[in-house]
Amino acid sequence: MRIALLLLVALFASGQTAPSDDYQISGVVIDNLSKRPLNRVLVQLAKAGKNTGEVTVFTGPAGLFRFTHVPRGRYRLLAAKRGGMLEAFQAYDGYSTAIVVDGVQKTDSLVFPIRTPASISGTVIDENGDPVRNASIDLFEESVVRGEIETRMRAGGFSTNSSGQFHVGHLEPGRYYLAVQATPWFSEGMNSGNEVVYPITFYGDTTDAKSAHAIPLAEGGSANIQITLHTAPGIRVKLPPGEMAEIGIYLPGPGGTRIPLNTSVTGGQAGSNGEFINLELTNLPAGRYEVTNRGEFGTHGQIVDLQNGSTLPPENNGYATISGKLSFDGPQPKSAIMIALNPGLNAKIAADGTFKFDKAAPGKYTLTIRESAFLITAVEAQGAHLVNDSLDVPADAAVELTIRAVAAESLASVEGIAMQGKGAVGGALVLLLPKDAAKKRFIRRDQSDSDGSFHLTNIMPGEYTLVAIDDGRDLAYKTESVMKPYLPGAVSLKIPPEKSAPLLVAVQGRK
Amino acid sequence: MPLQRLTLFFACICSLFAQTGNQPLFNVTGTVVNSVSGAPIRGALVRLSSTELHTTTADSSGHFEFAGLPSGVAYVSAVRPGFDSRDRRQEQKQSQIKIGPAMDPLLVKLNPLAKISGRVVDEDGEPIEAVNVQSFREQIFNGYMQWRPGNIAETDEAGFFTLEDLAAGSYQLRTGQKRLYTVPPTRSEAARYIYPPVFYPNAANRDAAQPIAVSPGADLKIDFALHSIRAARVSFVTVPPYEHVRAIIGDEEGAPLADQLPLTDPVTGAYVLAAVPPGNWKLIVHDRLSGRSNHQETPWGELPLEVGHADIENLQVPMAKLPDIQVLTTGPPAGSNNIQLISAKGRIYAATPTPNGEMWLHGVEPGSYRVNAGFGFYCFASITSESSDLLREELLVTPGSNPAPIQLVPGDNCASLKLLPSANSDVIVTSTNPPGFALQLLQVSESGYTVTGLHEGEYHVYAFDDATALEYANPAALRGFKSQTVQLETGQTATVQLEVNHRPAP
Repeated sequence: MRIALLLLVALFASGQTAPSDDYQISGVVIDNLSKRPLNRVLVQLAKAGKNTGEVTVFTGPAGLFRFTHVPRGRYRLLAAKRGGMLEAFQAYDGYSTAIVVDGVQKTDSLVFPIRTPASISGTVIDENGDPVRNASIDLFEESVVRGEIETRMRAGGFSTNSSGQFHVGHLEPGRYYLAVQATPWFSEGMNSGNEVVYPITFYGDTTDAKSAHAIPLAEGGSANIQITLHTAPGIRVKLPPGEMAEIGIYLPGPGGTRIPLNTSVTGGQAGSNGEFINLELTNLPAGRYEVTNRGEFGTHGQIVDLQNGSTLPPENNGYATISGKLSFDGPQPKSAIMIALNPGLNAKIAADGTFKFDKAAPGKYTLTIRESAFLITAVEAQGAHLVNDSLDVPADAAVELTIRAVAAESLASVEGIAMQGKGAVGGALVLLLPKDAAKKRFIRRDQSDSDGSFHLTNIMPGEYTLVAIDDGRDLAYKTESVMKPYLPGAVSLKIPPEKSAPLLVAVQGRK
Repeated sequence: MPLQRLTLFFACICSLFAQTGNQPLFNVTGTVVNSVSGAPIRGALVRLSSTELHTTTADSSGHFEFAGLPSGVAYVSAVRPGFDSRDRRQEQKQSQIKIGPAMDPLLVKLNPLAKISGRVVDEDGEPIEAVNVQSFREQIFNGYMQWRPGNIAETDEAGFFTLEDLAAGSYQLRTGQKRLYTVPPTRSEAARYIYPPVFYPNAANRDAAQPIAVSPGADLKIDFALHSIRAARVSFVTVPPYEHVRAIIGDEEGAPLADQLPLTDPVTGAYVLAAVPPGNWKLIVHDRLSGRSNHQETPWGELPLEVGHADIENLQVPMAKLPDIQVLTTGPPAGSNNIQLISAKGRIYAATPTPNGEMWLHGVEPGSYRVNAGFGFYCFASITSESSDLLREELLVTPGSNPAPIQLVPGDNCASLKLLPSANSDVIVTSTNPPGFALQLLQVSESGYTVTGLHEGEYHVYAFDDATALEYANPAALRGFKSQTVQLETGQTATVQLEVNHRPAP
C-alpha cells in the first residue's frame, strides 16, 4: 500500500474558528544539492517549545506540503526523508528557524532544503597489496562547533570488510582525519603470539598524527581513499602483579585528540595471594605511549617509552590535586551543578560551592561547567596555567580554582529583528560580541526566526557589538580576526539597553 | 581476530630426506591452492603439528616447506582469510600425514568463501538505508535439517549490502522490518509505515522463499524491492501486570519476525507495538529482566495474533511462570551435564544442580522435547515423567503447566557397541523404538570406537564416508542406506562390522 501522497490536515481545530486565525503553512521540500523536489517526505509542524501535538503530512511527487487552518503563533517545522532522521527547518549547530504565523509574514511558499550528507569510502591494504579485513577505522572530524574549530573523534565502530573496504556515511561538511588499527591476521597463528603488529596508521600513510592528511568534504561530497599498513615488530610489556585489562594505552591523534589502542592482555597465572601475575600487554609496537592505570580510564596518564620486555610502571606518578570554589554574585541556583575537567574528571559541586579532585594526572584539561541558569563571569587558577578554560596542570601541583558566576535573574536579555532593507530576514546568525574580545564566554548567539525576530538571554551587562550574518553557519565567530570584517556594519550597544524597543540589526552577507 | 580453519585435501604424501646423528630427518613440502580455481594461494599460514607445532607461510607460488622433521604422524592445516572449511570433520579426517622417506609434495586445497551482495530499494527505486539482511543456511542441527541464522548485513545509504564469508550451501535471505521514518513511535501516524520483512525474492514467509545455492567462492548479486505498508498498532497488557517485558512477534512456529522492547503508551499505560504487519503471528511476551537465567522466575505469555489493517487495542496476555522441572535420580547422581532437553527447533536445556544437590531444568519454554541422558559413563534403566516413558516419547511442556519431575533410574549394567567400519567414516547410531531417540553422530576411524552407556534395546547403525548435510534424525533420510541392526541386552557389548555407505557430496 502506498502512503497517501498528501494529507491535508486541519490543524489545532478545536476553538479555532476565527477567520483571522485561519492561515496556512505550505511549501516544497527539496534536495539541497540537486534542488529536485523530494517525494514522500514526512513534514511535521508543532508549536514552538512544545514536544507534543505535532501534525504530520507527507509530500507528494512535486515535494509539496501544506498545513491548513493554522492559528497565529510560532511553530517548529521539521522534515524527514524516508529512512532519515527528522531535521528542523534551517537547522545548524543546535539552532533552527521557527516559522512565525502573524498575518504579515508569508508562510505559503516555504522552501525546505534537506541537506545531502557526505561520505568517505576507502580500502585498507597491507604492504603486499592484500586487503586488510576487520581493521578498525577511527574517524576525526574537524569542524566549527559553537563558533570554534574543534577536532573530535567520532563514535561509530567502523571496520573493513573482507575486501579491506569501509564506508562512513552521514558526514557533515568539514575536514576529516582517519586512523586505522588492525591486527595482522596471521599474527595470531604464529608460534608465540603477536610478534608482528600494524602500528596505528593515519590517512597519508603515516604513523604520526601531525603528518596525517586531511580529507575535506563539502555537502554531499564523497572521498575515496586508500591506506597502506606496514607490519612492525610487536612487543610484550609486563604488567605489574594484580593489574588486569583495564589499563588504557593512548597515542596522540589529530587536533589534540587521543586514540585508545586496541591492545591485548595475554598469559597470566594466579599468584600466591590469588592475584594475577605474569600478565603481558601485547599487540602494540615499541613506542612512546600515554598509559592510564586501572580505574582511571579516560583520564590523563603517564608518558612511557615501551620496549619489548618493559615493565609497566605500577602507579601513575606526580598526581596533582585540584580543588576550588564556585561563588555566585547574587542568589545561587538550587539545581545541582557539575564541573568537568576533560579528559576524565567529573564532580558535583557541593552546596557550599566547593569541589575537589584528589588524583589529577599532570596534563592539559578543559574546564566545563554547564551553565543552565547562570553565567560564569571569571575563572582564576593558582598552581596551574589557565588560558581560555584550558588548564595546564603540572606534576605534584596543588591547584586552586576560583570561579565566579552570576545567576540568570541578574542578567539581561535582548530582543530584536534581523532586517535586510525593509524586510525581515529569517535564518540569520545573530551574535552579541563583547567589546572586550577576550571575554569569549560572554558571547551570545541566536538564529532569527522567519519574521526576523531573535532573543538573546543571560547577558552580562556591559559594552557589546550586535552582528547579523546571512548564511553564517560554520563561522568561527569566537576568533577575533574572523569577525573583524563584520564589525563596521554592526550595532554598538550597552547592556542593558536604554530603550526597551526591539533592536533592528542589518543582516550582512557572508564575508 | 579469530582465524578460520580451512579444509585440507591431500593428493599425495611425500618427502625429502636428511639425517642428523642417528635420527633421519625429513622435509615436508607442498603447495596451497584454491580448490575451485586451482590458483596458488600466496601468504597462507601453514601449520604442521607433530611432537611440536611448526608454522610457515606459503610463498608467492603457494609453496611451503618444513625442514628437518623426524618421522611420524603429523597434522597439517592451512589458513588464509577468505577461505574456509566445508566441513570441520572433513578436515580432521584428511589432514593426517605420515612423515617419512619417499614423500611426495602435499597439495593443500582451500575452499574459497562466497559472498552475496545486492541492493535494497523501495517501490520508487529509492535506496533504503539501515535495513538488516539476514542470511539463513540450511544445516543439520541435532540431526534435523534447519534453516540456521547466519551473517547479518546492513544496507548503507545507497541501499547496498554485502554478506561475506559464506560457506557453500543453500541459503535464504530475509530483510528485517524497517520503519520508513525515524520518529517517536507510540502514537505517531508516521511510525506505522514500514517495509515488512520479506524473504527473497518477495515472500512473506519461509515456505514461499526461494533458496539460493551458494557454491565455493561464488559472488552473487541479490536485490530486493520492498513495498511499504501501513501496519497495525497492537497494544497489550499483561495479566498480572509486569514491568519491562519483552515482546516477540513470531510466525506460527515461533521463529521471531521481530523481537522488541514494546513502548509504554503514556496515556493508557499499555504496552505498544507500533507497527505489526498483517498476518497470523504468535505474540510471545516474557520478562526481559529475568534473563532466563537459573533460579529466577521467568514469566511467559503467548497468544495467537491475527493482524489485519485495523489496530488491535488492549490485548490481555495471561502470564504464567515458565516451569522448572526437577530431575530425580535414584542411586548415584548422574552429573550436571548429562541430562538435557532438546527440541527440534534447537533449544537445549541442561539440568543444573542447586546448592543443596537437587537437579533442575529451569524456565522451560512450551514445546516438545527429547530427553538426552545416559550416554558416556551412565545409562538409565528408565527415564519417566509420571506415566510418560521418556526413553520412547517426547516430553510435552504446555504453557502454564506444572510438569512432574523427571525420574531417572540408573541402569545397573550398561550395554556397549563396538563400531568397526571398513574405513574412516561418520557413524550414526539410532534406536529403533521409536526412531529418532538415542541419536549419535560419531567420527570413527577404521581402528574402531566403542560407544558405552547404552540401555537395552534395538539399535540401527550406519556408516557413511561423509554424513555432511544428512538429516540423520529423520528416518526417511536414512532409508535405503546399508545398516546393521543390533539387539542389545543389559550389560552386553556387541561388535558391529560396518560397510561404509557412499554419499555424493551435497
